[in-house]
Amino acid sequence: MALSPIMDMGRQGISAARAGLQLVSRNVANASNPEYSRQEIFFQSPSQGGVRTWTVRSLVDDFIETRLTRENETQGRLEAERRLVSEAGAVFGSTDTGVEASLSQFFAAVSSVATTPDSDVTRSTLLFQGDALVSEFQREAAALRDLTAQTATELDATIARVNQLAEDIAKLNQAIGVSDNGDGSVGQLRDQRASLVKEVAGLMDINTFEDGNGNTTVFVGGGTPLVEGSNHYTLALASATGYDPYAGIAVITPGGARVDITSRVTGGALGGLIRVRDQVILPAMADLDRVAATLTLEFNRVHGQGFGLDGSTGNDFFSPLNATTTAAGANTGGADVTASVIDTSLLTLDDYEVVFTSAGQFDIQNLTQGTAVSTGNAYTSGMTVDVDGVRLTLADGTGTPQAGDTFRISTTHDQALNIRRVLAGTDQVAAAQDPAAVPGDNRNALALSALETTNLMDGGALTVGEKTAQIASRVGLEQQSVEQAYTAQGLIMEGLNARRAEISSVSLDEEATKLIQYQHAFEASARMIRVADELMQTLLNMV
Amino acid sequence: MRVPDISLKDTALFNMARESVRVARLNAQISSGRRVLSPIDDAVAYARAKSLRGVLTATAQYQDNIDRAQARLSVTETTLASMEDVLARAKEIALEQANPTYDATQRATIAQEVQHLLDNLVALGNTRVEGQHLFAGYLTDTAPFDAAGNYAGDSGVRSIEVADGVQVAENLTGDQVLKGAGGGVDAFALLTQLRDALTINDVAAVAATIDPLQAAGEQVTRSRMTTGFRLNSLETHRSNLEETAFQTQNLLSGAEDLDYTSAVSELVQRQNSLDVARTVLARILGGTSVMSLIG
Repeated sequence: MALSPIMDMGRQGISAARAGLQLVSRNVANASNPEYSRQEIFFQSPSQGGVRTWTVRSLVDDFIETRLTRENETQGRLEAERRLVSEAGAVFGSTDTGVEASLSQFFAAVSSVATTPDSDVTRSTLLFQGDALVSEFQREAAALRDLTAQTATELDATIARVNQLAEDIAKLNQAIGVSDNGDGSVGQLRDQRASLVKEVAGLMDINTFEDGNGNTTVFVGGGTPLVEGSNHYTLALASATGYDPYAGIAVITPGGARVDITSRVTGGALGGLIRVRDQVILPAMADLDRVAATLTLEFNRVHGQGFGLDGSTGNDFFSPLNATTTAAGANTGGADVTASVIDTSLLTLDDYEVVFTSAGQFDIQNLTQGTAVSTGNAYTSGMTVDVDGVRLTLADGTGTPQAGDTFRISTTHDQALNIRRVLAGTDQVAAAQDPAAVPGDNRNALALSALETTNLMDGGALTVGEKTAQIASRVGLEQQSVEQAYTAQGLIMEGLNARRAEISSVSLDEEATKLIQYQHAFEASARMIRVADELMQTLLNMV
Repeated sequence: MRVPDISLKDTALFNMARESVRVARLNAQISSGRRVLSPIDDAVAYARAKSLRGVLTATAQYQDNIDRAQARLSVTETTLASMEDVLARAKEIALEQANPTYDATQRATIAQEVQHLLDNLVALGNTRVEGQHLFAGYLTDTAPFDAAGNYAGDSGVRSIEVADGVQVAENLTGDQVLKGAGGGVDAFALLTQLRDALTINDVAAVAATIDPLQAAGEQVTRSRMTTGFRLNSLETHRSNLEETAFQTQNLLSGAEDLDYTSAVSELVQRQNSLDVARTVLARILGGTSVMSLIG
């Protein structure tokens, strides 16, 4: 046997040990990097002996990585929901504050006027409690509105982050394609890309797959591409299409068109923000408006029937209801619909919708009842239509109406924000039924007091107080269920991360062992070369 | 099983964070004495507590209504008793003076006492509580009787709320009690008649007032009985309300109050495991690995 192969094998051994040591140092350096997947070296010995080739592999369990991406969508959604819904829950205060408590105190003051209508103290207290109730309505409504504004800001910031991540993933796709030379250096790029994909998943639900060239393709909104190879697309806020002025999410295609994907974003922080905004906060706002509007309408109706100490009658206690019109965001025509209350006694508090079926015809629907009020009405600019105490004026504005244009008419919209106490003073509190029987006549005050226990809401099913309690408890139940899901999700994430760590994270104990192993392999290989050298010397000396 | 360094640290941190949240919530609950501080603690109990507090507010208001009505009715009752005394005295005078042993001078002197009784009855009819006339019907800011006993009030009967949907009539109107509205006798007219009969020494006319004065007294007595019934009924409503308030308070406590014993023992337990988690984390971060042994 020749001596040079021994020296050759020694040299190969040294190289292999050096490669091993380099890997140990890389692993040790990343011991506390949670994104890093530990790398292992695999040696191959060719049939003629020695170590010739080795490959470096990142230890990644694809199944766990996929699960983590999927669970991260849920985690991101729950984190956003939890943050927003707990702020919404806080709006309703503790068990002894909020609109409901103010309503109880307000009606207690009404009952007090009924008991002692001839006292200026009870009348002043009623005005004071009326003001307190009004400001409590305003506080809750404004806090809920602020939350929707905050949601818009968060959506905007989150979309900007998704765009940044999409760009980074596209860049990494390119870098990975260029530099995959099998020495393990690309493994860290892959780790980085996987971590970015997981972060995107935390922001919105995605589908991903890796193509034959090692590119990760990311789809959002059920099939719209976000990253394809080294290309990426941009997300933007979509303008509102309905009556609520709140934005959705759109993908801007390479052609510059905006594709609205709002309804298909259900996971991640974006999905959570939109869900809580649309299914928790906006319904709570609408319900609170409806409570304020019902109280305004009914209290004013009964109050207006009574007489004050000064003999005045027909006075409103709360500011009267207004009709507001909202054009749908998706309208394409230029017509305007305006509305005003002409007969309070006919008001239903239902929402109505004007639907243009063509440029010359429109239908009127009752949105709340889901019924048609009238269909096939001929349109002429400037015309008026009266519907249940509301006068609608339909006219050309910036242009004529277009088929499909819709307008919503509401007498409750924003009433919780707009409600005021307008009654001038204690003398106008209408406790009496008969102007000649003041100040002791309390019959109208008793009628006002009875409103507290009358089922005025939800088609005669609930009192205003019960409806208010229902608003708070619905948000509360939502908050509780999100919190429970969040706690459960924390355990799932913890378990998955532990399993990922078990496979992919660095153990310093293992690395220390390998360090010693490679050090010894290095020394042994060096010794091999020296021995071969000594043998060579011996042979030469023989000559 | 591989146990990488990072998962040792993560697990310790995760457990610590979970315990910290729970300890903070227990602290808030113990310091407030309430188990339900926000919907998150128990959404159903939260909504229930909100409704129960509404019931408590209404109950307190009904009790306040009853307090006010009772104050007015108590004064009404003593006033009616005084009216009975006035009318009883008038009847006594009529009985006495119908006796022929008295002469015109004596009768003229007694007529002055009857005038006093008349003035007294007017004053009693104009009794006020907190500035409001008790016997004026709805016109509580008007004195219901003038010096001659003419009625200036109305027949308004004020009802007060004593429970959800339950109203009870409170006041008696002066025209019913003293003027005989609705088929009774006019006490003022009788006193005037007696006074005038005494003044002109008309024994027959004096005697004619005896029975009607008896009837006037009975009329006031009936009013006083009505007042007594009303006071009793208010007392019954008050007991009911107190019972309701007691039950509601119990339900409220059940819904939102904290069980101190279990909360404090849980706090101690959680605090301990938090301390242990901290110690473990300190050990882990302190670092025991083969690396430190081969150095």
